[in-house]
Amino acid sequence: MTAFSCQFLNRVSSRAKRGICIAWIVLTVGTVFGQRTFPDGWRRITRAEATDDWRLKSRTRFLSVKADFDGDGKPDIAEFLLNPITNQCALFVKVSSTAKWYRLDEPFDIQALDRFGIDFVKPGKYQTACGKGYGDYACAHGEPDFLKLSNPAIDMFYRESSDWIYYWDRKPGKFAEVLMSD
Amino acid sequence: MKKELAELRINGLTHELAIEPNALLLDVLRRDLNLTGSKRGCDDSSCGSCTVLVDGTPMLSCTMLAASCEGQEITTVEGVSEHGSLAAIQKAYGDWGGAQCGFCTPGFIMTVKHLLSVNENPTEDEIRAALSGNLCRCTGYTQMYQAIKSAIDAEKKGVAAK
Repeated sequence: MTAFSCQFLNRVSSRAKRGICIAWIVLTVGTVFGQRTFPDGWRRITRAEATDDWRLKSRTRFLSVKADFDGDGKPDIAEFLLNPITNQCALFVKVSSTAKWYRLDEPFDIQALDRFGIDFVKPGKYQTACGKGYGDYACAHGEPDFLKLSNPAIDMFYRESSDWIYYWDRKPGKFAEVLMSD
Repeated sequence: MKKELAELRINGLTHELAIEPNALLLDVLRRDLNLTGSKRGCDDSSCGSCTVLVDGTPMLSCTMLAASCEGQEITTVEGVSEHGSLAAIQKAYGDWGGAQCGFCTPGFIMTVKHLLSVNENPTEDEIRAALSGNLCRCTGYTQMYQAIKSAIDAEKKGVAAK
């Protein structure tokens, strides 16, 4: 009986060891692969780094938006990422067709993260800052009076203040930016 | 710091609040009462973003203690609308694009409200002088002045119609 128990325990133990080994490999590969999905030097912002009360209104803490921005039927993602060496954040986007990350704006210090967020913009027609008559600056680059979106887009906002939309411009095949409020 | 009870009258309602004696009025408005219309802008009294009316006088809520306002009538931008509809100055800001990003707007509106309460028909110079303590980082002072003039006209027509 004792011999049987020992044999059983040995067998279970070796299975457990194998299981732990496999789990460790999966976790390690997953983690490494996961890290590689972000641009070099950048990582995801943790919830602990974005704790402001106003962020609780969003499931993603206003840090990421997932939608089909380029209209190819596959989900794309826009996300604020952090460079832990420079302590700067920036908005990046990855479209499924290229599977590469592109930076959409200039990096800003992490201290300013308490004011910046991104949100989903549904397709539709929106009056731009230029269209609202917000001065020459808002119309400086030939901005249209209205932005017509056939695909979802990304609204980047400075909390309680200005906002602008990044949308996929089909002709050049890249993201464009337009001020909605200055 | 130990909190103490204070009774604040804001936008016609009385609120009994447990606040720290050193709590700023702006923080109590925004944090405790969720009246987030008043903004923390420069934080050094130079921009007027946190302007509210205390007994009808424009004051900077970011530099005054909430506890010191007991027994006084505080009006924030949330209390400017009349009977659930926009006040003339608020409507004019929307019509003329005077709000822009809206960050400085509540401070401007409170100052204009005070101006119009003491001078029903201000000249452009008087408007500019009254608003000299309010700064806006956007580009559109012109639209604001147009909105204010439009609101004054609307008020006049309203008075004339009565």
